Amino acid sequence: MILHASGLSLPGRLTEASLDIAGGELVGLVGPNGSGKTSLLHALAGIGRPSGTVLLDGVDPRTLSPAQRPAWLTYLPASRDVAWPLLARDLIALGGGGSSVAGLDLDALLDRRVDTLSTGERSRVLIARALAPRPKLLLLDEPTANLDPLWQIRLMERIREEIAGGGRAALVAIHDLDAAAHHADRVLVMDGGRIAAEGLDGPHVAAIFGVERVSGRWREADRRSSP
Amino acid sequence: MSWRAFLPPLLAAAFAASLLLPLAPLLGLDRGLAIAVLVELRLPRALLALAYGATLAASGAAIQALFANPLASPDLTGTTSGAALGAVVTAYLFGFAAPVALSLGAVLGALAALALLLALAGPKAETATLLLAGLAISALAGALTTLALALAPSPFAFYDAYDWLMGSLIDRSLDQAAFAAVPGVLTILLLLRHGPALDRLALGEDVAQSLGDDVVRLRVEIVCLTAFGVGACVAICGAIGFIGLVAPIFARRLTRGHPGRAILPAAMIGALLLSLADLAVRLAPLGRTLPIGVVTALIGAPFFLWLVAHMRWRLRS
Repeated sequence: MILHASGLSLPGRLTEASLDIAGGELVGLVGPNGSGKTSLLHALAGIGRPSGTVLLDGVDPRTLSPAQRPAWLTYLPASRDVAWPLLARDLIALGGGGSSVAGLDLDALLDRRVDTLSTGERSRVLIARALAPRPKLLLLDEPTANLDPLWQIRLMERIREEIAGGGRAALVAIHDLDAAAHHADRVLVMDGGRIAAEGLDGPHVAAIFGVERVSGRWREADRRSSP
Repeated sequence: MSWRAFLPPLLAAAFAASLLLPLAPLLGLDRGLAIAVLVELRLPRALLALAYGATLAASGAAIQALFANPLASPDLTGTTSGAALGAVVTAYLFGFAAPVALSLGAVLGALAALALLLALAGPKAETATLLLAGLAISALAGALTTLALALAPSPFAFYDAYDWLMGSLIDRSLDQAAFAAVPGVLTILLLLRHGPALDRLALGEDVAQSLGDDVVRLRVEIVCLTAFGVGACVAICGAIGFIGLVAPIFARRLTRGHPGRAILPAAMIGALLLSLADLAVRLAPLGRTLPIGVVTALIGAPFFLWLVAHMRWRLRS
């Protein structure tokens, strides 16, 4: 197992979450707004003093120094704001893994200031920051938000490529259920601050999300059919 | 990076100029007296200009990095006025002749002001909230300072305090200079240690935490350090504005926008700016000496206005 986590809690946001992720796995994380996706990523990344156990390859990442940490895990927040007008290459380098990443078409962006980039371009730069240290575990909060359809596909394939070969894994929070089902090896479903279910087949989808798939399209679930 | 090459010689030149200018009075004196003027009068003043300028600017750079906001600075966040209030209250109780108590009072005042700011505006305050909270704290500290002065036992004490409040580097002894310079330099050295963490903070508080930084502790340490350095300097020289705002902004141009890396160049630029302001005070043909705080405000305030106009887009968001 790359990741073994158990009993992870953040007061008021996340309750007793336990999960294991194997090397090479791309795990999708879905759930309604406020269901705890970001909180689970936070707890795994050591943000906000979570309680519970996190082991990466048997090591508690909280015992690692800031210099070591990026090689073990990186976290991409959902926000694309950057407070200071840094050059893209400098921003990527602040993540601790060099200043360039292949496969994100960054060449034209590296020498531009991040405040002059479009939101989608800035997203790619911030994603590059998380990928650059080649960590064992990638924790990505809505990496495809703000990206155009082509880049949404390219990025998920890029993440897949990144963790291929075994020793690395990714946990990716995502809103698009189809994209989650398509790109992820398995999908965890969050609800009310807990990991409530696994997979996107079954009555729990309508119960948790209030939507159901009818002849290939998602629509609001018929309330009578939900348990 | 070229600033490493050109800032130190500029600083040395400013220091030499602080000692030697104006030259005429020195040449008119006999050797022993000239040396006395250099060592007793001009050396403390030149050292204070360097140390106070550097402390204000390094603190400003650290506070700006911490609040992720280029408009945060010791004076605009109320730190300087808090320190001044602390010092005036202490002076009221113990007199101006007790430098240790005065320094302690100023440091406590600065600390209280910064703690109040964090409580009012929060650590990730928008520019408008930060400036309004800073303004409120400055106004409160200023009013309380005026009240303390109005209740002063003698007009003489009032005049002393008023003179000191305007900010002045004149007539300080070498001992007094040390009381400001030693805490100041210590503050800068300790702030430099936090440079890499403050740079990582540019990625956002959450990411910095995920990279292993203890952001809460970082915040407490930066607040205490800047209160310590700025408080100690205010206790000796009074409140001097705008250096802590302006110097870091120039410094970040030398570090490609890195807020943490900017602490060292900011310190050098701050030392340079205050030395130049003091030279301007000394050499201006006005017949009497202007308070140096007035000079930095006269130059700094228009710069501040330009800055606010320049980043209106940021204020809106």
